[in-house]
Amino acid sequence: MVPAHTLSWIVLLPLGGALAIFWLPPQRREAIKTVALCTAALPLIQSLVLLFRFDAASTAFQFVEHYTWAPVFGFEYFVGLDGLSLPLLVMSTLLCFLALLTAWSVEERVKGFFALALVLETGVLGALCALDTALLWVFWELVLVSLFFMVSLWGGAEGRRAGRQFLMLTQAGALAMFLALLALQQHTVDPLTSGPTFNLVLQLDQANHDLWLSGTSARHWIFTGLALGCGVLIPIFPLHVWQPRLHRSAPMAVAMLAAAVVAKLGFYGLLRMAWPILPDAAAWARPVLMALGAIAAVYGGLAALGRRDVAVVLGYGSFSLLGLALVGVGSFTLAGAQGAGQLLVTHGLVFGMLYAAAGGLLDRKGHLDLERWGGLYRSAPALGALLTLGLLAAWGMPGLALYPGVAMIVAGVLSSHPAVALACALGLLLAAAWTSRVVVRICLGEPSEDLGDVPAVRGRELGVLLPLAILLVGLGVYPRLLADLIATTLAGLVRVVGG
Amino acid sequence: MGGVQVLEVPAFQLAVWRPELVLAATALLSLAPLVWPHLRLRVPVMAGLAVATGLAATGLSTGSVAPAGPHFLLDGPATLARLVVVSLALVVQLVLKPRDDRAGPMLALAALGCCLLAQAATLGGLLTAVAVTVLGGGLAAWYAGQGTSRIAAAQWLGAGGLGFGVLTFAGVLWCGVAGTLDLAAVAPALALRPSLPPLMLPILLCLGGAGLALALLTEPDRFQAGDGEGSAPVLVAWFTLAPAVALAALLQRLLASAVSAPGLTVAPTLTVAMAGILTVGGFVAASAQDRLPRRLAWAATGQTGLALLALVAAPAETVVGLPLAILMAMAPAHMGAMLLAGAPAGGRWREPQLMVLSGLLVSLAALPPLAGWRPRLDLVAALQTGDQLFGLVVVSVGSLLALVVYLRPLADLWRDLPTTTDPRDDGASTTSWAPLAPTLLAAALLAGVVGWGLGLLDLAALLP
Repeated sequence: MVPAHTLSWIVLLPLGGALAIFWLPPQRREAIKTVALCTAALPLIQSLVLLFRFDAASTAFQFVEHYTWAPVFGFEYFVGLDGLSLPLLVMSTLLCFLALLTAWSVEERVKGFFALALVLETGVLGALCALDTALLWVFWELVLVSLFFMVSLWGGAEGRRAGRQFLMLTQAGALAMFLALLALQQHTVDPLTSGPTFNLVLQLDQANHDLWLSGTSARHWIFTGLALGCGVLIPIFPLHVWQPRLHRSAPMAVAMLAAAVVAKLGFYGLLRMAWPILPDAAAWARPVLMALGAIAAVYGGLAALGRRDVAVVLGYGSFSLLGLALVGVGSFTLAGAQGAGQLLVTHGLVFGMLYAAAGGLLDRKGHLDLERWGGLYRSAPALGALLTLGLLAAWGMPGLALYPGVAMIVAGVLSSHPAVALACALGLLLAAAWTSRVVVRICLGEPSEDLGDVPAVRGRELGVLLPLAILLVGLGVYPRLLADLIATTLAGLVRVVGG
Repeated sequence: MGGVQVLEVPAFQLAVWRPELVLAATALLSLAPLVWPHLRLRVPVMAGLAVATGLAATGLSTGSVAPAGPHFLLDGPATLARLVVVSLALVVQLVLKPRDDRAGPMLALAALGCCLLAQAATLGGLLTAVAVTVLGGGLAAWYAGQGTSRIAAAQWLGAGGLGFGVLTFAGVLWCGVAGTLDLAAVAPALALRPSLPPLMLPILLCLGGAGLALALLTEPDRFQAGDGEGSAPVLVAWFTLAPAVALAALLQRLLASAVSAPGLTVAPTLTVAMAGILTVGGFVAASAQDRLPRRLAWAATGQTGLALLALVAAPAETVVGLPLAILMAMAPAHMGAMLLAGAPAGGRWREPQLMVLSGLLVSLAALPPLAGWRPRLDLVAALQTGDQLFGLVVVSVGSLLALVVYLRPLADLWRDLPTTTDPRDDGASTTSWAPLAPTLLAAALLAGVVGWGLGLLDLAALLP
């Protein structure tokens, strides 16, 4: 039995923590950080409770809470979870908690930073739980705005430009998505009230679509709007232009949140709204999306190979792997979809770990230039070992968490789209190349003299990296832990889109 | 008079039944310092104004319909507009503290003009209201400021006079052709004469021109807080908003009557083009400003463009009141932001101020879940329903520009916030804390903005 309103508590607790932080005096930095961390721990614990109470065999939404919000506008507070959103929710609560731990070294405007991180967490969790498209959009905007401020304010000299670029592009996408959601709302009929509705569950039922929404052209336009809104956040090639600058300038905890958590919202939007509400339009767009995914897989790998800044390398590496996930989603096969579902979760864990490790590197030398690093195995062997483990996982090494998802995606597209499968394989090959390059440049060789005054092993770093390492190995050795959770929901999704 | 709530308090009854009389009386009372400059009635006059106009506003906010006078009409849009105008005038009066006692009363006069403008029912009423607004506003600016502010006040008076002349000419021509002085009857009367539809163009031009004059010719650049008192930005906010809200209420009612006339069009292309110029031009000009008051002032012009755009989207019965709702949502947030923008403590921002400012600017940027996003949502929905593609483009571009205009300075201000933790170093001991009143008033306005955005307040429900 799950206590009442657990889901609402999960979503709103971080926001409450953010408000509580603002009452603390700015001088009490440790207290601020501790409050933030404790606040982020509560949703994590609660989401784990939900994980154990979740009925994975059911396709229905569970832990549902449904209230009227603003009847004049047709808004509802409607939240619930299924096999797609729950794993992402747990992953997000974990990574937000770990990101706060990673951000412990932030000493500038501590209050604002941790409060914004908690607001961002509420946005992410709310978007994952929302079953009302207006509510989802509200949380979506919360994420974009808080991330914009985090990048702009803590991103150094380049952060302003990075923030502005991020804001403009993602807001343009959000606007397209907003128009699409409005069109969906106006042309979906609530059978009870006979009026328009933002209710996602009603929108999923094609019988509630009116004549206009049944037209091919309208459905294509709406799908395009949703895909733009989601695609710019993933980001899909060529909408990724905001990403390198953001990763280069933002603090590692912010980059971690952006790559490992926020990017998943884009995929989630596609899988939650665009695909099942407009399956025929999804089929129409499928070749384009698969092609863009394949391009991203190869281009991201090549770009990662050519960069010197570790954060940017990781950003492109993440971009490349998310291209693979796009291919899996677009394959419309059970294997491809399940692979993509698994990849979304494991990608978050892997890149969460890599960015946390990169934060450790930054603390030691004050830069992330590959050409000026070396000897990590000697200077900080534990960090070096964990970084290597993360990089091996990012490459898709069998036995580690990313492998099952990647393998299923390639298997899912191999028979129907061999060229795309080839591109995916090339992307993986490039992943092996860039991860090896990072290991060689960072970990091998003699340590340089300019190491900062940081001990070889720090408890906080281990506190972030070890749980992720255990998860990477655990989910690699026993992938059914995750696969069983998402299988039913994704099978239902594939059935809807006619795969 | 069903539905009117009357308490057994004479003043309240008076306020409910004859709010315009109360407003007029308080305005006349406040003219006393003009006649006798040495009369130090500032505090009691202000208190009297606050109580009386507050009562009037309370009476209006019940949504009651007072007996329609020969020249003025109280209905939903007018009620709502008056509520906003009076509330904002009160805020300005409480914060303004002008060095010349005559500024406050003049502002009350301008507020009265705006209230009358919102409820004008005949051509005579309209012209009277415009004259009072222009005169009161110009004199208030003249007395409140000095230097460039006085030049701006003179410009306001000049532009207002010009607008008044054009409006008189057009109104006489228009009512003469229609054969009626009743504003609500003019449009249907014109619609019944097939040979005259082209006249809608000059009508719209005149109305739009008057709106433009009121919105643009306030010369935001000139109303700077150059005197260090931070009062001018608040005045700018008032000048930008109050006449626009009143005009929107008037247009809303005229439009509602026009909708019922078959075959009458609202010249959507022209209106959308004007709205596009105002929106994009206003926001682009705002984004080029370094100083926050200027930026906000120009951005208000962009917001006015969006309200104008709503006129095109509005004809369907479901969205009557949309232009007004846009301005209503913007008004408190804009005013609150102006209050803060003009008065950082000792020239330096404090965290609570910035927090309030952040909420207000996020609302102005139409981000959920604050007040600004709901009318924006309605506007987009209405444009979508009406297949107004160009209108959608204008809204889209305007919304993106608005994000830059409102969020970029926020990021800069937070970045520049002193981060030192030593109270001896952060200036707290040497400079007074923020002017408390503006911050508290802005916080109260923010509370309203949040309440509206979350659906706890629904002023728009007062609309028919």
